[in-house]
Formats: sequence, C-alpha cells, structure tokens
Amino acid sequence: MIDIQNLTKKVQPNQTILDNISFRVKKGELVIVKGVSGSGKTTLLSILATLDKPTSGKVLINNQAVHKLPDLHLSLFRAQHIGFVAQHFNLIEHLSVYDNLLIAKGALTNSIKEAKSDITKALKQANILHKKDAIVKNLSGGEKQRTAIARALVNCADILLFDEPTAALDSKNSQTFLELLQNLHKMQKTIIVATHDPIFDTLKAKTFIMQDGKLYE
Amino acid sequence: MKKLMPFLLTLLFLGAIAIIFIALAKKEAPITVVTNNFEGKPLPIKLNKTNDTECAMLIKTQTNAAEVIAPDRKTWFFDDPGCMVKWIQNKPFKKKAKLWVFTIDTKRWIDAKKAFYTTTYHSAMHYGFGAMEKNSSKTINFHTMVQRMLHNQTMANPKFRKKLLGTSNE
Amino acid sequence: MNKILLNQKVIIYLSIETLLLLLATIAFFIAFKIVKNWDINSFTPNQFTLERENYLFITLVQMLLFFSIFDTIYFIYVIDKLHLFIPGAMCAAGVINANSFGVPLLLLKLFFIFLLLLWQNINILDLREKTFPYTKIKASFFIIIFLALIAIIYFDINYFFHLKTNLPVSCCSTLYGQLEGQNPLPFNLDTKLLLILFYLLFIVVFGALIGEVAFLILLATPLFLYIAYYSVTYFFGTYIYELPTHKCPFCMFQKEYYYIGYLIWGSLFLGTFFALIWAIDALLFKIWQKKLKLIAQISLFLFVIICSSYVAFYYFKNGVFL
Ligand SMILES: Nc1ncnc2c1ncn2[C@@H]1O[C@H](COP(=O)(O)OP(=O)(O)O)[C@@H](O)[C@H]1O
Ligand SMILES: [Mg+2]
Repeated sequence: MIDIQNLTKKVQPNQTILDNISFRVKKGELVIVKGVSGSGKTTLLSILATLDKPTSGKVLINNQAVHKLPDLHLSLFRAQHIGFVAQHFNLIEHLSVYDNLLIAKGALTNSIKEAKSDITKALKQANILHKKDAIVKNLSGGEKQRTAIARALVNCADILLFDEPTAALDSKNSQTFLELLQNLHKMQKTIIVATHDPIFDTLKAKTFIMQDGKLYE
Repeated sequence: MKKLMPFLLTLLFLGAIAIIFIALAKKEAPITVVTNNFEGKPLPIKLNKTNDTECAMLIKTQTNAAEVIAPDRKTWFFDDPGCMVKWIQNKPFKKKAKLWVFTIDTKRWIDAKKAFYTTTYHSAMHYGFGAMEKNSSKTINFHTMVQRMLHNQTMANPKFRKKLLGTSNE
Repeated sequence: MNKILLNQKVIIYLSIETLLLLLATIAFFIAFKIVKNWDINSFTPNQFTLERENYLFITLVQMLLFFSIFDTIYFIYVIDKLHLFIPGAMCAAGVINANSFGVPLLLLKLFFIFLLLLWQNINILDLREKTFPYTKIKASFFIIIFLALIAIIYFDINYFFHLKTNLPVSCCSTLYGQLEGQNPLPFNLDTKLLLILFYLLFIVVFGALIGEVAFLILLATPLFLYIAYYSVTYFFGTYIYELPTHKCPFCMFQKEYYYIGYLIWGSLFLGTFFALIWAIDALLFKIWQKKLKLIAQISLFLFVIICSSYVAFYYFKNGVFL
C-alpha cells in the first residue's frame, strides 16, 4: 500500500530533516508515528501527502511512485487517494462547513446531486452534520477538527494522514477523537497519525518512533 | 464519402501541382542575367525578352545596347551605354569586368572602353550617348562619357541638353 | 552612433530581445542537463533536482513563446514606424529591405514562433502522460530552438546596426512592383492561375483537416502559405489599398487600412502553423487533437473570408474589378 525506501529530505545540503527512512504500511493498517517536536514528523507526513517532494528515495503509494507524476496527475492522485488533516486544519475560515467540503469535492465531480450526498455522508462519518451551515471561524477546536476530517473523507480517500490531531484538544475531546479514529480504522482506511501525545499509547496500533529524522520501530 | 475524401483531396492537390508545372512550362521569364558565359564574348540579346538590369526595361533593339561580363563569367544586359556606366559604379568587379557596346556605325560588338560616343543620339534612356567604332569631331571617348554620366551632363538633364544642342547648332 | 539605435522603440525592442536571450539561456542549460542526465526511473537527488528544474524549464519556454509572439508583432510595428526616419521608405517594406538582414530576420522570427508552438504542443502531450515520455525529445528540440534564437539575435544586431538614416531606400512600389516584362509571381504564374491555386489549395488544406488526412496537410500547407503570401501581396492587397499598382505586404499594417494586416497575416500564420502541428501530432505521435484542428480551421476560414470579402466589397461598391 505505502512503501517507503531510503527516503531522505534535506532543506539545505547540510541540514537533513529525514535521514534514509524505510518502512511499509499495509492496506487498512493504523500506524502511529511518535516523536518529540522537531523530529521531522510533519515533514514526513507532507511528503506522504504529496505536498512536498523528497530529496532522494522512493515513495510508492498503490505501487505508484507518486512524486514522479507530472503536477496535474499528482493533484488528481492527491484528491482521489489522500485525506490530510493538518495540525492547524487549514480550513477556509469565513466559509461554512458545507462550503469547505464543496470546494474539496468540486474538483472531482460533475454532478451536484452526487456531491451533495457525498458531503452529507462525510459530515455524518465525522460527526459534524449538525453544524453543516455554521461558519468555520465560529467553531470550537474539536468541531474544526471534525470539519477537517470530514473534508479528508469527502472524496472517499483510502489514506488518511493526521498531524498532531490532539494538540489543540482537551482530554474529553481527545477521547472522542480516539473513538472516531477507531471507527475510521474499522472502515478499512489506511491511517497514519503523527503525534507526541501519550494518550495514543492506549491504542492498539503499529508504532514507530521518530528521532532526529530517523525512524525506529 | 469518408473513404473517398482523402482520395479526392489528393487528386485536387495533384491538380494544384499540375497547374504549377503547366505554368512553369508555358513561358520563359525574361532574362536578366546569364551565368557561365565561358567564352567571355558578348552574347546576342533576345529582344523583348531581356531586362536591362539598371532601368528594368525590356531591351528592344541591339543597336547601342551594352553588356557587362564579370570575371566570374556572369553577363548582364543594358539598352543604353549610360545605364551600364551607372550600374557598374558600385560593383566590386568594376575594374576587372569586360564592357561591350553594339556600335551604331559598324553594327557589331566592340570593347566599350575603346569605343567613341556621340552625345546627342536618341538613346533608350535619353542619356544621348551613341556608341561608335570610328572617331569623329562629334564624339567623345569612354572616359569622358563616364565622367559626364556621373556628373549628370547628359541629354537627360534639361539644362545640359540645351547646352549640347546649342553647341551642335554652331 | 547610429541614430536608429537611439530610437526609443528600437531600444525597447532590443531590450526585449535581450530578455528573451536571457530566459532562453537559462532554459538552455537546464535542457542540456535533461538531455544528458534525465532518467525518470531514478530516485537520486540529482534526478529529483532535475524534475524540479524541468518545471522551471517549461515555464521559461512558455514565457519565451508568449513574449516571442508579442515581440514579433511589436517588431513589425517598430519597423512600420521607422519609415519616418529612413529616406525613401513609405512603409515597413522599405525599412525591412533597407539592408539584406531584414527579410531573413522576419522570416526567422516567424519560423521561431512555429518552433515554439510545436514545442509547446509536445509539452502538452508530454505532461498528459504519467511518465514524461517526451521530456528528452522536448529538451533536445529546445537546443535547436535556442540556436534559432542565436541566429535571430545575430540578424537583429546586424539589421539595426546597418540601418542607415542617410541612405535612401526604395518604397514598396519599386520593391514589389513589376519590372517591365518581369513576372514577380513564383512558378511563372499569372494572376488568374495564382488565384485558382490559392482557392484550390485552401480547399485541399481545409478538406484535409475535416477528413483528417495528415500527410496531405503536411504537403499542402507549406505550399498554401507560399501561394497565400503572393496572393495577398500581389492580388488581395491591391483591393485593400484600392489601387491596382499598390503591391505591398506591409502597408496594410498601417492605420489607414485599419491595421487589417495584423488580422490577415495573423490568421494565416495561426491557421497554417496549427494545421501543420496537428498533422505532425497525428503522424508522429498518433494523437489527433480536436482543439488544434478547430483553431486551424477557423483561422484559415477567417483568412480566406477576409481576403475574398475585400474583392467582393470592391466589386459591390464599384461594379468592376480592379
Ligand atoms: N522548510 C524548512 N526549512 C528549514 N527547516 C525546516 C523546514 N521544514 C522543517 N524544518 C525543520 O526540520 C525539523 C523538523 O520539522 P517538523 O517536520 O515540523 O518536525 P515535527 O513535525 O516533528 O515537529 C525542525 O527542526 C524544523 O525547524
Ligand atoms: Mg509537526
């Protein structure tokens, strides 16, 4: 499903953020990448989300070397296969929840009817349907996160990436998120979570530890 | 129809090519220059089919016509010795080229530099120079003719024409 | 110092050319690296760098195309305006023929645009695929384009440096007018045969576009372009100027004729170029691009309609032909 071989990312010739990382994630697997702040988790997720390119090394997703695709194909691939929930969600603050999802959906559909039903479905899965007409900037942190998750689900992506999902949540909301995560896991989504929050230790999942750009099992 | 179309269009295209070949075969274009004149002798002029390179007119008579044969054996034609003189001034082969004129008195090609020129002849471009093989009191030599050509002292200049006709009346 | 070189429009023109050369030089170095090192199946840092530079390369060449089209139109505008400075010149014809570099320069510039359009076309086909199949071809092709630009710059410099304000040149009527008995038309054609060829070849090219007969387009389009040039200069032009002796491809760029020259020559070149590119795609890559074909058809049709309507309107107005 996801096969990473000798992935290295440098931002300068002498500054290595990811250092020769290799690992595999099978379809439907739930993976936690742990590590202190600054260890390179966000960089790794950005590369997996195809938002950034490696300096060297292979990244195969569904057997496709994604970073080798021309930009247009890459955007299409990203839209169809990858749902990315960024640490700060990157929602469009002055639009409604529904419209945020519509924009994400718009690129991939021709039929308004189909778009509507997909959006409603995603909002239900992320448990935020009741807020569908609220403006994003008026939402709480937890609600924003669920909006971002709904957006990640709206194109039926098979890979979900979460960057520090509990960093902005209180412990009650964190628990709710864990339940949601397990539901998504049951839906056979391939999930990678990058975090430094010990709350994930309770979760039954494959765990990697990231330190100074290196990955340990 | 769809199958026939490439065939029909190709036929049309061949028709266009045929038109070009027919046009090419129909008529010779006027001559302006002849290459590979290896003998270096003046060529007979094809009247009404040869252009004067200087004034662009067709040459209508061989009498008083002129030819320039460059060192590389290219040959140009003129209907007036004046045209030849004017044309050759800024050519690199000005000194080395052979110049010929067809004389009025003896009716043959001779070296233009050895010919003599009357000044009031009714020449094609009205410069007035008529090529003669025999010297007389009314003729000037080649060098003088060139000088007059270059200083606009010809029959084509109305002021000088008066002067010329005035002296010939005396 | 040559007075022409101090002319504001000439300075702007030469500055744009310098800019183009700069863009092209950067693109050339990347193209060279791509030709030498490109290997899409490699995951080395060099290849990833090259893939990023490839996008810079594409952007640079696209800018080159955009600016070249603008720059060629501007070039015609500049030489058209320069006729005021050159004694004897009445329009761009005299200016461009003022020395022997002008005409080759203009032809090169047009050919350059054709090459860039062809490049852009291969680029689109390349990025449509997932594996960059034509990237190396594209880069090699650009090296040829770069050489063409060098030639253009060479002619540019020679042309403007040898443009003298003190030497009188010929006006268009002596340049494009007829020598006595001399036929200016190619293949010894007369006007009637020229026009028959003009419409015949138009039908062939247009029909071949409809019927998608690529090889015929490749053969007939250059000939049509050639015949169309003479038809406009020696026949349709006289109706634009409404003067049987006014034979000039350039005067129609002037305001007196509503700048129609830009539209006439523009549609001709757009149409023929796109038709050729369509045919090259079909023959070389086995790709049949509907949009290209449509643009070619519309442009060529527009071109023929504009030319013909000048004759028709003249006849309608005056009841006779020129
Ligand atoms: N574009 C960049 N330029 C320079 N340094 C960067 C860049 N991106 C990330 N870094 C550095 O790389 C290290 C890892 O960053 P990051 O992946 O955000 O770590 P994490 O998400 O684990 O906190 C940090 O020290 C960060 O400052
Ligand atoms: Mg981070």
